Amino acid sequence: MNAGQPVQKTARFDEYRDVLIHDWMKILAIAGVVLVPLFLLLDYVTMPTELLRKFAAYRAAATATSLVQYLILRSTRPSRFSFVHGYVLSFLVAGMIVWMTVDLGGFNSAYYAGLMLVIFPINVLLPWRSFHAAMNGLLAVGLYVVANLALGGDFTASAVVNNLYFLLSSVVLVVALSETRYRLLQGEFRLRAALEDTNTSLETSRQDLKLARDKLWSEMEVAQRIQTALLPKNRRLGGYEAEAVMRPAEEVGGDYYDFLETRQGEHWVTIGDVSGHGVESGLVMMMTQTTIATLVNDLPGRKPSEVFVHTNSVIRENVSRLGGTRYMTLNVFRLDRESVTVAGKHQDILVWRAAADRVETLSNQGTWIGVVDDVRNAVEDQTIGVKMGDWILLYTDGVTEACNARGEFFGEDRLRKAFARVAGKVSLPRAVAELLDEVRQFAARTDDDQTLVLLRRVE
Amino acid sequence: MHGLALGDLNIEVQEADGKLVQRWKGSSNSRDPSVGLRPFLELAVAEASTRKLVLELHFEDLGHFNSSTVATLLRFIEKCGQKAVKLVLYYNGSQRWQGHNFEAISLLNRSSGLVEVHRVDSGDAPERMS
Repeated sequence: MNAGQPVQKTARFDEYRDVLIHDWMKILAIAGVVLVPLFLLLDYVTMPTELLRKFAAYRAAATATSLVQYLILRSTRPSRFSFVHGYVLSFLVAGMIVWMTVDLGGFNSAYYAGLMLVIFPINVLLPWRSFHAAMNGLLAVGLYVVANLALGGDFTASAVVNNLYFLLSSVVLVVALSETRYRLLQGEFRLRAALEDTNTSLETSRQDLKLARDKLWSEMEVAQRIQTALLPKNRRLGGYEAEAVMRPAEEVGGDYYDFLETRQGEHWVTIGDVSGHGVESGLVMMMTQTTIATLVNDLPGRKPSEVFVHTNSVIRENVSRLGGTRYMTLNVFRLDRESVTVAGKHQDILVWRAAADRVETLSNQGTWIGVVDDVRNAVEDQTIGVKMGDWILLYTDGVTEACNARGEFFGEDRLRKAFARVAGKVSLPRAVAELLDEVRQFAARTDDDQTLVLLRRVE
Repeated sequence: MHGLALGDLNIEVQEADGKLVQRWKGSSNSRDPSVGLRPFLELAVAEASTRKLVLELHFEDLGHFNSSTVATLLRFIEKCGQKAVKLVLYYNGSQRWQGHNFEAISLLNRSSGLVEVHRVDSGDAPERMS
């Protein structure tokens, strides 16, 4: 708890109160400017004719000073001395009324009642302490008593008692009202302060949330950048035409594919999926890409299983160093003239045979990257014969596990049928676009990356 | 040991004939299984290790699990190996997604001898893979 907080809150309340006093004083000064001359009508009806000029002059003076006071209030800012205006206005207007009672014969005049029209509005409207209400009321009553004792005419004791009874009762009333009002004002201020504190706290929380969101978006942008920065351009790979598309999920999955042409003229294709989401998955993907690109360029004639085994060693070591639990499904393909050799474990491979106009499903035997140190006994090369015009479709689980509103997977059957419809009938780019479109129309939402890679033997 | 209900995932636990049997149902799609699933599996390993029980996990009725769940399972399998707890996994071979995952898992753990992976096709008797 901060010990300075109550002091700070008291200072804030004093400022708040001074602003209110200043504002209400403007209204009271305007009321003086309007009402003081208006009462000349009452004078006209009830006062002796010979006093009218005098009273008009009094009223004009009081009106003018009220106007001056209003102008001063308008041109100055609220301060801890704003309350002084309450005393000044009381003094001027009450003084005018007192002077009239003197002219009317002193305590016997009924015009003393006008003092209550000064005591009540000033002390009820101004949010000041009951002490000021008492002082202000007694100032008016004191002026009345002193002036009429000194300058007023003859009077009876009963008249004095009667008049002071009413005036002092008015003072007692406004003191009680002021005290009540002041306490209400303090309560209101406490509630306002609590509300402001809550608003400030909410604003701080909102800013914190915004920062956290920006950080999260930033991380997601980094992950997406990592994921997409290294994606290859679609192109010819020796005797094969290659086309791919990846539709990243909102939270960035770990899909990965690559087309590689080595310095020695070998052609490789990879496809995989790192477990989990975010930057760490992106890093694993990037390490895998770099490792494979280095391995296939380093020594020509490597088998895909060798590339897979070496890649696993590197990634396993690095994932362990990161303290992570990532693993990766991966297929490594080497494209040869009449065949494709694959190693690793990923999704099934769909091959459309041009001669038979039929789609074959080929499972790949193997295991994953990054789980155990040595996978030599778990990975072997699998050769797939490819004839001129044959198409090969590779994909990630984001495609087959895309869910519709009923929770059904898109599945391999739908993919196989869709592949059979487009293979050999349209261009490769069009085929990829149509396949992805079919998945997109089926899926109710995109929870995972969706990647499709198409190869066609053209030579 | 009690079962686990975590989002769409429900794991029933039974104990019989020296085996702690878990039946996985529903879908395991949590982005962060370390919150509920990992502690549950670690408890199972600890209990099986202390009481010398075989752990038997059935995935045949499971609708789907994501790659984060697989990563948690891999760590669990590793823990079983460290604690010398025998683990037997059953999966539904007619579900292609299950085949992809458990075929890879069975190859990964071929050498340890502590993990058995059985493929169960609908209506078939269990087929041992490793």
